[in-house]
This record gives sequence, C-alpha cells and structure tokens, in this order.
Amino acid sequence: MRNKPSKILVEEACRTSRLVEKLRRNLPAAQFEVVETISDSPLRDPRRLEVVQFRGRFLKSCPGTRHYFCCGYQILHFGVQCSLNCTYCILQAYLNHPNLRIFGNQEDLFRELRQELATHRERLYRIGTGEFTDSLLVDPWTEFSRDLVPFFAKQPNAVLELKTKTDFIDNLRDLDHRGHTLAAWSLNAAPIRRREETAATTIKQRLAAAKKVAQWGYKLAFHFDPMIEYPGWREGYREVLDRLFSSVDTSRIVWISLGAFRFMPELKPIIQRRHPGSTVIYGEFIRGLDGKLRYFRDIRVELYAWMVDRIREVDAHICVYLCMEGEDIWQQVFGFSPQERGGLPAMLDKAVETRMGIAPR
Amino acid sequence: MNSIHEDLTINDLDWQDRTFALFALEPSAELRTSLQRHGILSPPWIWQKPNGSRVIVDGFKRLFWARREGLKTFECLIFPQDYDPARLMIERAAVKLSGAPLNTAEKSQLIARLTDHLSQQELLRLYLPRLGIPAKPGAIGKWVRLAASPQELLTAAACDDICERAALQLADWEGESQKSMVALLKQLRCSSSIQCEILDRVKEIALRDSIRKEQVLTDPAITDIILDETVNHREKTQLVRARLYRRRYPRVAAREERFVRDMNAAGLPSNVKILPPPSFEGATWQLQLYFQNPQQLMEMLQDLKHSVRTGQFAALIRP
Repeated sequence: MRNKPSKILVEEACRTSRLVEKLRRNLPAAQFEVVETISDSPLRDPRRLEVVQFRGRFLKSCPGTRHYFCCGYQILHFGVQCSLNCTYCILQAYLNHPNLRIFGNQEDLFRELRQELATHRERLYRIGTGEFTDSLLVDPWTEFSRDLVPFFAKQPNAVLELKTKTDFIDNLRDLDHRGHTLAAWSLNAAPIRRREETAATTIKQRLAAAKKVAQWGYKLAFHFDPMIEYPGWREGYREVLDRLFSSVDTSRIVWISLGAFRFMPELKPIIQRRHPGSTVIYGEFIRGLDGKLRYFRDIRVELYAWMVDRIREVDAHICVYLCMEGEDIWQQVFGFSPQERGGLPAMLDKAVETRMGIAPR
Repeated sequence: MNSIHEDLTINDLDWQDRTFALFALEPSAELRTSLQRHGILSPPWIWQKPNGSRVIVDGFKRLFWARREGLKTFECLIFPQDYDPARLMIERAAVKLSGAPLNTAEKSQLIARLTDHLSQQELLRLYLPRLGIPAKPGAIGKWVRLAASPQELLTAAACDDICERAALQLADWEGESQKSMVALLKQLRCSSSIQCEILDRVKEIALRDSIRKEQVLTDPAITDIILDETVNHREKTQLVRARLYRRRYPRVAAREERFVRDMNAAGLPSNVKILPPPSFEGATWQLQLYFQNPQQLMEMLQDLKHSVRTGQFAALIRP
C-alpha cells in the first residue's frame, strides 16, 4: 500500500495509548521509537509518522475571513500534515513540522467533542477532519474512522465529513454510521491530478471508492478545490464531472463545493523550490481582500459558472457552493447571495436536513 | 608572512596565470591619476610557484598599467614557492575586504575562489557578512554560479548596469535568454526593483507558456520598443513593462483598459474620480471629489445625481 509509514516516533505520554497499540498491530514491520517529546525539525521524511500528545483545542472553526463567505464548518483537529505532496498544498508552509503527525490522546478528543455537542443541542454541527491533513491517509493503520464514525452515528446534532484524496475506505465498511457520515473526495481535472497530485490516487480510483461507500449507505460530497485554470480546463473538468455523475447517483451527493486556487504569497517561493516543474502559481493572480493570491475575479466567475451550469444540467437541486467567495461573485455565478438564504452555513445545514434527514431537535 | 621585498622585471611575470585573478574593470579614475602621478605606491604581491613561474596574486590593475606604460621593473612582495596558495588566497581576500568596496562581479569571484579553501560555514559566518551578503543557506551556490557566468553578465554586473539581485537571478538563466536579457537591461538602465520585476515577468510568462525566455524577449512588440529611436530609455522601460504586464496579466489589463474607456464615456467632470476596488476584487468602489467651496460641492453633488442614473455609469461599475 502506498504512503505506508515505516518509522513511528511516539511521545512518551502516548506510549500506551490505544492509537499506538493499533499502529503496532497494523504496522508490524515499522520501526517504533519512543521519545520524551518530539521537537520541531525541518527535515522531511514521508515514511515517518509522529504520534504526539496534543494540548490544544481539538475542535476549531474553519479559518474563514470576514471578507468572503465561509461555510461555517468545524474542524476536528486529529493530526497535521500529509505525505501526498500535492504541489499546491498549503501544508508545505508548515516548515517546522513537515512530517505526518497524529494526536495520540484521542480520549481527550472524544471528551471535548462530546462536551461541545452536548452544550449546544439546538445547533447542527458539520464537522470535518480534512483541513490540516487528509482524513483517511493513515486510517488503514490508525483505524481512527472506526471510532469516529460510530461516535457520530449517536450524535443527533452532528454530521461528520471525511475528506480525502485516497481510496482508503476499507475501515468504513460495516460501520454503524446511521447516515451521519459523509465520505468526501477532492476532485480535479485529470491533467491536474497527474501533474500536481502525483502521489494521490487517480480520479478513477477515487470515484470507484465513492461508488463503494455509497453502496455501504454513506452520503457523499465532492470538492473541486483547488480549481486550476489551464489550457483545456473545460474539457478536463467536463470529463471529471461526467465520470463523477456516471459513477454515483446524484441523490447520494449532499454538496459539491467549488474553490478556485488561492494561496498565501509566502507559499509561492516554497512551491517554486519544491516543485520547479509546476506552473500552477503562474496564473493571473491578484491579491485578494484576505491577502491571499487568487485568480482575477473574471476567471473565477468563468470557472464557477461553467461548472455550475454543467452540474445543474445533471441535477438542478444539488447544493453547490463556493468556498471563500464574496457577494459579487455569488451574484454573478448563481444570481443570488447566500445572505438571501440565511447565509452559507444555513444553506449547508438545509442540505444536511434535505439529503441526510438530520436536523437538531 | 615569509615574503620579501624585491625588484622584478615585468617580463618575469607569467601573465597567463589567472589563479588569483578576480574579475576587474579598468582602473578607476582615482587609481589612474595616482599611478600617473606617483607610480606604484603599494607593492603588488607575486607568488613564486614551485615550477619557478611567477604569478600575480594582488595588484593586477597596477601591473597591467605598468606593462601598458612600458615600465621595465617594479618593486613587489615575493612569496616563496613553499607558501601555501590557500593561505595566500585568504590573505588576498583580507586585503580586498579592507579596501575599496567590491563590485558584484568581484564579490562573486572572491567567493568562488574562497570556496576552494574554506568551508561553507566559514564563508557564511566570516566572509558573506563582510561582503554585505545575507548569510543564508544557498547563498554561496548562487554567487559561485554568478562567478562562472559569461563575460557580458559579469561586466554588466561590475558596471552596475545590472543590479546584484538581477545578476544573481540571471546567472541561472540559460545562454541565449541570459544574453538577451543582459542586452535589454543595459538598454533600459532602470532601477533595481524594475529590473527584478522585468526578470520575474519574463520568467513567469515563459514558464506558464512553456516557451524559452528569449522567445518572450524577442516578441516583436518588445523588439519594436527597443529599436524605436524616438523614445528615451525611461519611456522604453515603461513601454516594456506595460507590454510584459499585458502579456502576464491579459485579463486584468483588459479590464483596466475597459475601465479607462468607460470612465471617459461616462463623461464625469474632471474634478470627480471613480476608483475601482484594487484589482477589481470585491464590490467597494471609491468616489473622489475635488472642490474649493461648499457651493461648488453642492453643484457637483447635483450633477453626480444625474450622472449615476445614466447607463454609462452603470457600465462603468459593471463587473
């Protein structure tokens, strides 16, 4: 199996944790080393997996900014970094801990989650694990999903979104998810997948995995993010949409998000150094209101409007939303602003209610 | 030092041996005047090599002047054949560092020479700061590559026709592209920041379009600007920048041009200005009014009420 860790570095505080026990069982050939604390180091080793004691908040709000509409998603912070090495990835800017790091004190994570969900029963929580790492990249060995999915099955006011570029879905089979988990894939045009996501699974493999989990009763979500403008982008994205809609029944899809490539200016020299062959940073980028570089607005509108039209041809009712875009772009793409529908979080809550049948009582 | 002062004849020197040579321009006006008036005041350094030949270590400009002037002998400091050439190079570096500021080409060659004798750490810690170079990892490699660059680039860098940052970047450009860019920058004689902007634009266009950099530079529009004898170097610089900007950001540039056209068509008074959001991002536009008294402001606001209701104004702020 690709991306299999072979060196496991464990902090003393996590030595006897369930997570480490599972890693020892699932990675018998790996070399384990226990240290007092794992210090930051700039040395990148894709075979290394670090297990640390996390002392911060596990549940965080999506780091949106006031300038653009945010989905109001909550991030369950169970680890950080990714070994898929996608050229455009923001995680490359985390220079001091370049290796995959998972939090060993998962009991604390579940305690915090339980408390939070019980405190606001009137509120629907859309929680995902795919912000600071890939949700399923190390799941074959950590089996984290086998704890997380059944936990969410019992929460009346929460849904879990597992977002991935892998096809590591085996742990999801036979879990009692009760429709509270969305399996989500990041998708991109095939030429972008080949050039910029070289260590991730192919689009075909991702869609095959999506088809399988849909058969296991899971709801689905797809994220075209980052969308990249390149010569022939229409054909590329049309092809992946065609493949998507011929692979899965659209009624299983709760939402599709679109997000044009955007990045912190500091990431540009990092991409130039680490991926000199990549041209993703040479589009027509301007400085956005949040300081990030993003495609000039007309390009974003063109990308989004084209995608929305194609999606609407297949299913006029799928919730399609834009990740981190402003009023003017929404108006041009959809003809309305999320504010007219109670805000973007409310639109997504509505999609959960309509397509998953889940709403807080 | 175990060196001795001695008189040598000019013809005793091995003029072909460039072991200790750094890239140098012609002597400065001050040095030329001093040499003409007083001759060689500070004795050059010569190393007697184990094979018996005598090579110049320090004092190239003075000795080349002496040879041109037809001097037969000169006083020098001779280093014996058992003298460690590495030590000699380091001592030469010490002399250079305590003298007049080095130009970019000299700095690069000094660093390149010292890499043969010193560790990277020593160079980073002891020499780069004295040369005014930030001691960052990778810095030495860049300077060594510049030192090995063709004469055109080194000369342009030494004369300050090309700034240090641009010269270091250009050292990594392939032959023809480097040559074309050196020629362009020499013509434009623009500031360091503009040189770097031009370099970045050309590089990014080439990478984006999968073409060679010299293909960007031989764009007929750029060639026409360069050959145009009716504009001076400042105007040429602005025209080249505008051309590269349009090529790098075609849709942003088109939107800006459309805005200028719409602004003219809107027929707003000259003391009213509409400013679009930066890069047309977001929906917040600005209005600037220039007035001298309340009466004038009142009249302008009345006129504006009428103007903003027109189709031209709507077109102006249309996305």
